[in-house]
Amino acid sequence: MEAGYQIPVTALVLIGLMLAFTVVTTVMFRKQKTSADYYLAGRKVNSFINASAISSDYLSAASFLGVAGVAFLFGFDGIIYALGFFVGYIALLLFLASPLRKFGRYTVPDFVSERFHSKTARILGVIGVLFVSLFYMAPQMLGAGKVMGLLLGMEYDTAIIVIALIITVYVTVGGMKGTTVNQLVQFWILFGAMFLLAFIPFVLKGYTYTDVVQFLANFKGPEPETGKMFDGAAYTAPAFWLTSLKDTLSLLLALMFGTAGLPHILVRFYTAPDGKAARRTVIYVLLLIGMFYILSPYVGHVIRYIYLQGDVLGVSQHQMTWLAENGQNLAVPVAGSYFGGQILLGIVVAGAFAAILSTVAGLIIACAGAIGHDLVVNVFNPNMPEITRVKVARVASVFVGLLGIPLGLWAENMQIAILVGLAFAIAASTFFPVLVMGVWWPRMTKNGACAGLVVGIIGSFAMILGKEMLPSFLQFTNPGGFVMILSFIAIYVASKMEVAAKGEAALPHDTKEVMAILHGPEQA
Amino acid sequence: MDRIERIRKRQLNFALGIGIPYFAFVIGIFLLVYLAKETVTSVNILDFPLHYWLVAVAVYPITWALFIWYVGKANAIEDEIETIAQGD
Repeated sequence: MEAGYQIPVTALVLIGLMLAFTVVTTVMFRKQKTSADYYLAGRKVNSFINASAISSDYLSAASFLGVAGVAFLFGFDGIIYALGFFVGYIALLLFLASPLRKFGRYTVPDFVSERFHSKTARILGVIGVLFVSLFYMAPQMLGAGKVMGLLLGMEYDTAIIVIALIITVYVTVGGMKGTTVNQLVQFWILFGAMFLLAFIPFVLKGYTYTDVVQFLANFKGPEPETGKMFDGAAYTAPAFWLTSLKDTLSLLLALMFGTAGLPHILVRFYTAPDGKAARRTVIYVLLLIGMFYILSPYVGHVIRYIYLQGDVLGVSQHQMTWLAENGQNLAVPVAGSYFGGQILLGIVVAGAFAAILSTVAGLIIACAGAIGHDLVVNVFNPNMPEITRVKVARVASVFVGLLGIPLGLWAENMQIAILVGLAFAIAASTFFPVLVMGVWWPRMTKNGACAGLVVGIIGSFAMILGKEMLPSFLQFTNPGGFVMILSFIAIYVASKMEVAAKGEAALPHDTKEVMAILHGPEQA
Repeated sequence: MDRIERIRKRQLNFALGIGIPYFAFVIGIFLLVYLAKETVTSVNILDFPLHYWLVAVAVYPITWALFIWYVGKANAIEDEIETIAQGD
């Protein structure tokens, strides 16, 4: 670590307080009588608390560090992430929040399995949940490793192991109830940190959005530190980074519809008392995360503004080095350090820690549900006693939590928001089509559901990990929108073919009853 | 069951009636900004570029207002359905 840099005491104090709070709530909520208590906090979470917890689940390292980072790196084009993440809730609100809550099961694989009476659909659902959630967990661990490692003086590998262990313990013991209370507190820490990062430059320093964008647009010259040419007019204009319209649209669709397929977000709607409360919850979430996403691209632009002026604005050498070497992931901590010294840096580190902790906790709960509830209980042993189911949930949580370690090591050199964008791509192409069609189209069949899931999983897997092997017209920066359309087509075609072959017998025998539950009056 | 089918269609039409124009609006903003880049970037409102206004600021309050209204209306439809069901 560089001479002159000190580990911020505020960060240690805040993280210490947060951990102490986590221990208290975890111990308070350690007694889970049923698996519904463990996975869904007894389905009694109030809308505002749930909204804070969902926002905390959602505002991960990608949002807290990545959105400002991607705006710092790519200017106007980076804002597409903020907008896409925000708009994602609309599809969820319009098509899924209330019906899914009325259906009242534990997990997304539960829905597909019980809607179509298919074990295959359940197993495909489990694979989908794990695929989306583990892809989502990797960038969180990356954020943990980078921020904690650099700012608290830990090695990257050590930071990842420490974070994985902390989260695994508190999720395993506290379940959804403990996790919800912790997420509520964590949300306000991370939101407060982002608010201060925008408030200080905007109000106290007078760096209005207008002034910052105008300065950047007129800047043309070498960047400090690296000496690379910086063209401000291109940076503040569209298509600086997203040069292909095909890629941009696919990314936008993935972000817009991926949220409605994220298992750790969907599972939270099952914790609402009823369908109407689920809708109200989304509105609170939209207000909270909307304010956050207006602020974070501004912070990214402000950091570019101070980076380009360097010495003139008194930016220290270690701040300039961080920005030059890893500005894509460390723009937010540098903003904290520059605008508020050790205290604000400490608050920002605590905010990043809160963002990572809450999101990974949500992901662990979702994956544990998929493994414990869907696979072990429903596929292998449906008669398992309730107390054993809670134990299975805890063992699954430990297993998933520890998987965060290799995932973090794998993701070390990637950009957080881009990696999360790929998790959205998988969610948009795997679950969104199956859930929307399953909820609203009574003519959908079991084969249609399986076809949609298979196309979503294999299509996104092939187009993300096997990108280089595909012809250029099939190579996407983010293939989510493209595969999502294929998945919708697969559901429609496979359902039509099955009905054509078997007649009405192809439809699940209780379709009308299920439609009554999903769309009719709330069941008592 | 016909009644459930009518309710389903009513709710779906309501959701699509709001959702399709809204998503068209968001995607339309992007197409406008990317396809008419030269024109849009040259326009400033209160010294702030139009494309920033559209994508970084204006979308948020528009979305809030629209969907607060939507949730009120959707929950009112649910109440109406419950009242009819209790009457039956």
